[in-house]
Amino acid sequence: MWKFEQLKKANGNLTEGPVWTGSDILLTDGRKNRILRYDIVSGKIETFLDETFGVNGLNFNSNGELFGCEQKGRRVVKYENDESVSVVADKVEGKRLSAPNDLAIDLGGNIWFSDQIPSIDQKPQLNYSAIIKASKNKLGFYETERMTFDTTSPNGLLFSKDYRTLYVAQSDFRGNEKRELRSYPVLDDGSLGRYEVLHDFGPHRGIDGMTLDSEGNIVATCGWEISGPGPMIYLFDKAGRILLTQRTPCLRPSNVTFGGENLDIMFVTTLEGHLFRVENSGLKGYLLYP
Amino acid sequence: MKDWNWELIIDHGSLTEGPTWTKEGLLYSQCDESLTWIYNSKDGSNKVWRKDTNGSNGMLLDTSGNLYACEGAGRRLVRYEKDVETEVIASEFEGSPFNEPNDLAIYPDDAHIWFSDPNYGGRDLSIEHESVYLASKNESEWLISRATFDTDRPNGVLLSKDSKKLYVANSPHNFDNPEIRRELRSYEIKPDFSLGEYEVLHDFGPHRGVDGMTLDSNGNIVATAGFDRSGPGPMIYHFEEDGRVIDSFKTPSDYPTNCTFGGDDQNFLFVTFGTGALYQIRDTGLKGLRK
Repeated sequence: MWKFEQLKKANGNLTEGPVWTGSDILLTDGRKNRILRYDIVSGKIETFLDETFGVNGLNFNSNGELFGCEQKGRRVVKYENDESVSVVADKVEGKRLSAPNDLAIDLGGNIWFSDQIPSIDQKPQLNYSAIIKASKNKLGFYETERMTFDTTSPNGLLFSKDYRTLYVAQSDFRGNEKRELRSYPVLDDGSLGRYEVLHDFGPHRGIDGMTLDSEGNIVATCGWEISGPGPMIYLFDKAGRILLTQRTPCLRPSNVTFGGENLDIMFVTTLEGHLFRVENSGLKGYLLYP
Repeated sequence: MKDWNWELIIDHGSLTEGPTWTKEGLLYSQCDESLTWIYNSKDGSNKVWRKDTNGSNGMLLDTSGNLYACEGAGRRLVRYEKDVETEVIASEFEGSPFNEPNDLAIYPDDAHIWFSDPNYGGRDLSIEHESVYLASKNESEWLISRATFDTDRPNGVLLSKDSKKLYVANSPHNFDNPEIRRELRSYEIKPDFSLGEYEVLHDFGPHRGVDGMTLDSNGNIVATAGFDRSGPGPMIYHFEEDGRVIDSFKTPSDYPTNCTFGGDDQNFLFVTFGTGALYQIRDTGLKGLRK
């Protein structure tokens, strides 16, 4: 059994986007528009950055530059060291993004992110929810391109170790839509091929966030208190085989990453607002940075 | 995670099913040849136990030691006794012969038998739906009622440890149609033995679902599912009662069809395959639930 140590109590405000900086864990408190920093030595949690417009997913590129998906800001941004912000993407095909949720960055520095039409509070300009890629053009400006044409609510996304596969959580809450872990081949021209279903969650809550372990397996947060086997961390191999499952002490885990000097400490965020640490998972992480 | 040591007992070359542990050894079906075999785990011998079984598939003992079998090609549920003529338990519903009885579960009172009636074989449907039925013993007569009204193609059926739920594998093929779902379901058994609402314990999506199942001593479900063609591959799944996957184990042959525990201590797992193989595993660390 894994031991979940609570580092931050639930307060009703979703925590997300956990990333390891090399010395700390950053996580997001989107409702308060904040990025928080958990100091692994002192155990303190403090505000790292304010005014982030509903930041949700975070990720580093291989140079250690920090990117985030701002749901309320309807954009993907780069957080500069001087606390300024550069916009990476706020439109695709000439229309405003709906609500970027999570991101994955390839070795070429292209930013792949999930964009979802929220169920409430917005008149979207787009009529689809898809994976979007932001790539720098020759002039150094990011251009966006729609990459999936078969998602209705993409959430977590993750590259395989060899970057030849993009894992996508298609996690629609609507009963008539699907909740699946999919693997899309990344083709030589940079587009995505036809996906395979690695796992189907049926009527139950699908995957929110994912990270890789050192073996290239997929660590995923999913499930809920309402139905099915419950809130859970799954470990999938590349073909979708379930290698293990571990119940979580929260109702809806949102995301997961590894940190610590040896990348062997797991950090888990939740819809209720927790931050948990697991030191005895027996797993190690595999991160693009550091 | 520890891998299991799979020992091949025999490869018949055509589909094996219905593994059932008895005092005399392991009985199992070789469906296409209409043979029931018995494997003696003490001396390693395999012998034909019964011939002309009309495509017998799933088999199960009741608590008194009666052996029941689903004769798929024979379209009926029967009782076998060594060297005694077959007793027919159920052969038709509302005047139509069954489609292809496949697997069964027996309530501990030995008087209620659920059996699945899919149509995998490709014959024209005899009954327009593919459902689970209940055979209820009334004095000496078996009465048949329809138990499910929402299955596409039921396969393995299994009673929960507390006998309050019936696990049903809804496992249609049609693998080219991405809209067809394959689910392991848990149906509530009502006091009158009818089935209530089901919960989905596990969804296999576009991949091959559960074929046969058995219980371990903790009431967890050990199930055969999957194939080489897509998804994670042919596998034994170990599910908790709520559908949590405790473990999964790749099988050495394709298309695992069924499994049961056996041996004096109920700690050997026997697995049959669509390829015709029969394997045993002695190091699963699990035990069967002896009834």
